[in-house]
Amino acid sequence: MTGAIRKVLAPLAVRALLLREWWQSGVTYYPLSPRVRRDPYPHYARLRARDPVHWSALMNAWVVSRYADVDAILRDHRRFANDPRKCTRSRLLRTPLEAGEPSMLFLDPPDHTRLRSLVSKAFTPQAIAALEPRIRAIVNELLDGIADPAAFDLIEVLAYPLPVIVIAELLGVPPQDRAQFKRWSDQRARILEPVLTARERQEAMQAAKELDAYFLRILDARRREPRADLISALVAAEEQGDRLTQAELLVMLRLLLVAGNETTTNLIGNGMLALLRHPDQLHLLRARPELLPSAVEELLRYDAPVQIDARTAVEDVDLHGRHIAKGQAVILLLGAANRDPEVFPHPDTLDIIRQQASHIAFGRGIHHCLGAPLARLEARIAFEALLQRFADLRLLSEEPPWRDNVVLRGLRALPLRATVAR
Amino acid sequence: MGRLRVWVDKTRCLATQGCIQTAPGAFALGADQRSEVVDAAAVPEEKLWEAAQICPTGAIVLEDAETGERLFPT
Ligand code: HEM
Repeated sequence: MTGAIRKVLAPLAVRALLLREWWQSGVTYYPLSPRVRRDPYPHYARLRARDPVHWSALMNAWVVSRYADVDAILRDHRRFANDPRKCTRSRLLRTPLEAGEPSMLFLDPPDHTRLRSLVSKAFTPQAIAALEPRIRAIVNELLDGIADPAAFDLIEVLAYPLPVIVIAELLGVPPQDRAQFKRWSDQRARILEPVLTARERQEAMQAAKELDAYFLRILDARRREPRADLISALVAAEEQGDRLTQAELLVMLRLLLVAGNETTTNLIGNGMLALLRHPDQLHLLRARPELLPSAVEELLRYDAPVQIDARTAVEDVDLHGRHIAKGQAVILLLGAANRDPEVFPHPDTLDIIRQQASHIAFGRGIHHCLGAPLARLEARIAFEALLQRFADLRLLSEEPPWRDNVVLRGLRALPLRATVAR
Repeated sequence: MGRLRVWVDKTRCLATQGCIQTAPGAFALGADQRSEVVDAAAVPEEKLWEAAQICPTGAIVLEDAETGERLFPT
């Protein structure tokens, strides 16, 4: 097909698929529409109510949206696997494989168990709590860099650089390499999206190669002269022989670099936007800063930085009268589960003192986010510092621009005006 | 200090299964897909501490069996 013909036919084919979907179940799942991107929640509400286990012809996958089902599937790693090679009946989940050896995020036990146990100690709540003073110093340094509080982009000055600085220090990467590091991370993060352009795919592959070459140099240095950083700890595990191969080590480093960057950026960005759109909640938080930890949980629930998780059924499973066949992909709408009225009364209300069940923004089960304590800490310190430093914070644009993402929901920019506290 | 009493707060358990890997035999996954204590004596006490510390939600509670005092999470 020539480009011109494809341009005309492709949208028609999508429409035909969506029409059939709607005909079969009374509802469609189309996360690529700009309207859904801006506000996916009404869309999710329809799926939850009308067709909780929805067949998406477009995605070639089941779409699950209720809290109880998403929770149960994520806990059940025996029947629902992460390894995309088990996904024999949908195209959807194959993309990550093209970057070579899968990371633990895309592996199942026993490999997942072995790999995760090598890093889990570095990310326990206690280990992460020790980073608090350093993270606070970084946040303050970044906020000091705001040239004009009357007009600045929170993403650019804080939400974007903070996580990459923190993870670079934790891993033990020289600070002067951060900019390059962040570029690689952005390019790699694209592979989580269900739809990416040929150029994005190309860049992601190239970034993987460059990252490997880069890490190999650092590994060499740490082998000769270990330091008190995570890379040295992993090198030690590799040297013990059977626990970690060099290829696995490189993939792990790539995962640790990428997994926490755009996600934490989005927590700070989406969270601040939500607070600014609910001045009563912002006011409450200013008056009672001890609510910060509970506010961070509510912000994670309210506008989850990772909207979608995915699994492959490794045996046939019947759910709400639908038959999920072995080898089919299952898309789990974390953002929809987090707004399920069965679990969260008035789910569309932002309420920072909510006491209900925990959200699913960090997943569940054996792949539950390794970096959750770190993301929570970074976000808490970021919000705390912003509220302390600025007596007044306002949106400069009522509709800040969203990135074109489906999985990683976040803002391209968040222009703010602030008044410095005296 | 007396012996350690350990239990799992099921409302907090996310089934990350770090405890089961750290202290196999002491913890197992229940039919409800939540961790539970099957035999705390199956592992040395420091393994119970390690399991409690690795849990991301602090769902594993350690108490002094004699005084009932909560030792972790505090
Ligand atoms: C607000 C920020 C973050 C969110 C919303 C988030 C979300 C998630 C989710 C939903 C998963 C589960 C994926 C699955 O079930 O397949 C996950 C896994 C993971 N996250 Fe995060 N994450 C965040 C920050 C971080 C940070 C800061 C790190 C730091 C290194 C990190 C490292 C990881 C790793 C390594 C995994 C894979 C764990 C495994 O497969 O066992 N994340 N994250």
